[in-house]
Amino acid sequence: MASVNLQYVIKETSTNLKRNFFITMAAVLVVVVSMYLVGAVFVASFAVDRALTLQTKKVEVAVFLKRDITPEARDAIQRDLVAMPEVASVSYESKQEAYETFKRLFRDEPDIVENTTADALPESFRVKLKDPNQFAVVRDRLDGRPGIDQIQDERKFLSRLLAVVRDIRLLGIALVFLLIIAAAVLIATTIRMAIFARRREIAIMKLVGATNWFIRIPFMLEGVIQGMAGALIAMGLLVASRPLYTNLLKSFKFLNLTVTYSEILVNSARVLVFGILIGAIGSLLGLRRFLDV
Amino acid sequence: MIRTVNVSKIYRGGIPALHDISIDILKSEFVFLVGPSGSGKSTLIRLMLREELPTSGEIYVAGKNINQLASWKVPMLRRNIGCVFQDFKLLPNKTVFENVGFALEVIGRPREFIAKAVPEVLELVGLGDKIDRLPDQLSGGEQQRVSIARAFVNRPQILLADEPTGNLDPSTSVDIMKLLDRINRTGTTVVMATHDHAIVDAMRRRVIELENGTVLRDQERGVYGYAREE
Repeated sequence: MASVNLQYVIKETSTNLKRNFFITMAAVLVVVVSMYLVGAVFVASFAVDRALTLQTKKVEVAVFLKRDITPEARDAIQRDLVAMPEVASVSYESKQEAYETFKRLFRDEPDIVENTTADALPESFRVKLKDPNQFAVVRDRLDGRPGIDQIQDERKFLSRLLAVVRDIRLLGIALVFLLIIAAAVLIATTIRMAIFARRREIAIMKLVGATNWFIRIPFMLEGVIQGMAGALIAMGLLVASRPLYTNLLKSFKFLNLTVTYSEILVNSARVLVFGILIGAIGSLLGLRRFLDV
Repeated sequence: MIRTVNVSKIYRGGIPALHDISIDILKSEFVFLVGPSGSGKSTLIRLMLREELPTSGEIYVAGKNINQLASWKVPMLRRNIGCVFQDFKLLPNKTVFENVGFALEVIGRPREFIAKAVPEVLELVGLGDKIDRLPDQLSGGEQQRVSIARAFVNRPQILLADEPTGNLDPSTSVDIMKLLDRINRTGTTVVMATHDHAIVDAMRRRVIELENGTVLRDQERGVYGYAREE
C-alpha cells in the first residue's frame, strides 16, 4: 500500500512541476536569491564572530607616555605595572617601534607615512591583562601619575566594531525576511495554480473519500522541492563566489575574515532547512483555502 | 440508513434551501427525490455527503450523526457513499479503467486489488470491452456507466445519484435505471434526485417530493405528478 502511495505522490508532484514550468522557475529563483543572502549572513556572522573572538584575546591596554617623561619615571611605571596582580605581561614600545607599526598599518597611504616621523609618535607600555575586564582597576591605579599621557583600552574599539556589525546584521536580516516572504508567496502562487489545474481531480478525490493529507501531500512536496532546489543552488553559488569575498575582504585583512570553501559549505548548510521551511510554509499558504473539507 | 431530523438549511445571505425536513430512508431502499429546480433536492444530497452542514437539525448516516463527525473522519464517511452526477465528473485524460481505478488509488487501495476490482465492476456495468477508451470516445450513457462503476467499485452501502439521467435520452436513461436497480438489488441503498417523470412513474418506488425546501409528499410506490393533479 505504501509503495502505491509513494508512486502516486511522485507521479502527481512531477506532473505539477512540469505543468507550471515558468512560474516554478520564478519561485525557485526567488528562493535562490533569498537563500543566497541568508547564507551570506550566516557565513559572514561566522567569520566576524571568529575574528572578534580572536581579536578580543589579543587586546591590550596601551599606556601612552608623555613626551617629556624621564627614563627613571618610565622605569618606575614599568615596575609598578609588572607588580600589579591583574597584569599578565608588560612590553615596552619605543617611538621607533611605534613608527614601524604605523608604517605597516598605513602602508597603502604613503602620503601619511611620509608626513609622519618616529618622533611624533608616543612611547607606550603594552599591557596584557589576566582578565580584560579589569581594565578599570589598572586605569584607576595609574590615573594622575606624572608622565602618563593617556590610558587606552583597545576593547573600546572592538565594542564599537561589534555594534556596527550588529546593526549591519539586523539590516540584513530585515531585508532577507522580506525576500523570504516574497519567496513563500510565489511558491504559494505556484501551488494555487497547480491546484487550479487539478481542480477536477481534487473534487473527485474528495468525493470518493481521499483524505485531506493524501490530497495535500503532492502539493506540499512540490513546494518543498522548490524551496530545497532554490536553497541547494544558493549554497552552490555561495561556495562558488568565495573568490569574490576574498577580494572584497582584502582591505580588512587585519581582522582575519577569510573563510575556506568547506567553512562556507558548513555554515550555509542551514539555508537548506530554511529553503525546505519556505517551501512547506508557501505550499500551506497556497493550500489554505483548501484546508476545509 | 439515512435519517434526517428537522433539518433546515439557510445559505449564507439568508437564502433558505431546506425547511424542517425529517425523512427516514431504510437500508436497501430505492428512493426518488423529486421536485422542481430549486426545491432543495441537491442541497439534501450535499448534506448527506457532508459537503455542507445543516443550519439546524441532525443527519444520521449508517447510525452516525454526521454533523458531529470530526472533519478528518469525513473521508471515511464518503468511502461508504457512492456518488453519481448529471455531468458524470470523469477525468478526460484518463481511460475508463484509470477513471475507476483512480477512486481506489486515492483511498490507498493496493494495486493488485485495483487490477482485479476495476475490470469486475466494468463488466457489471456492461463496459467490459471498453476498458481502455477515453471518456470522449464514449456515448453519454456509457460515460454515466463509467461514473456509476466508479461510485460502486468500492461497494458502498449508499449510492447517491443527482439527476443521473439529466443529460441522457429516454432509452439510454432506461438502461441507466436498470443498472441502478440492479445495484439496489445487491442491498445498496439508492437515493436518486430527478425530475424525469417517465422514470419515476415506470419504477414505482418510494417518492419523496420536495417543494420550496419542504417535504410535500412521501409515498411508497409513488409516481411523479401525484400531488400536482395537472
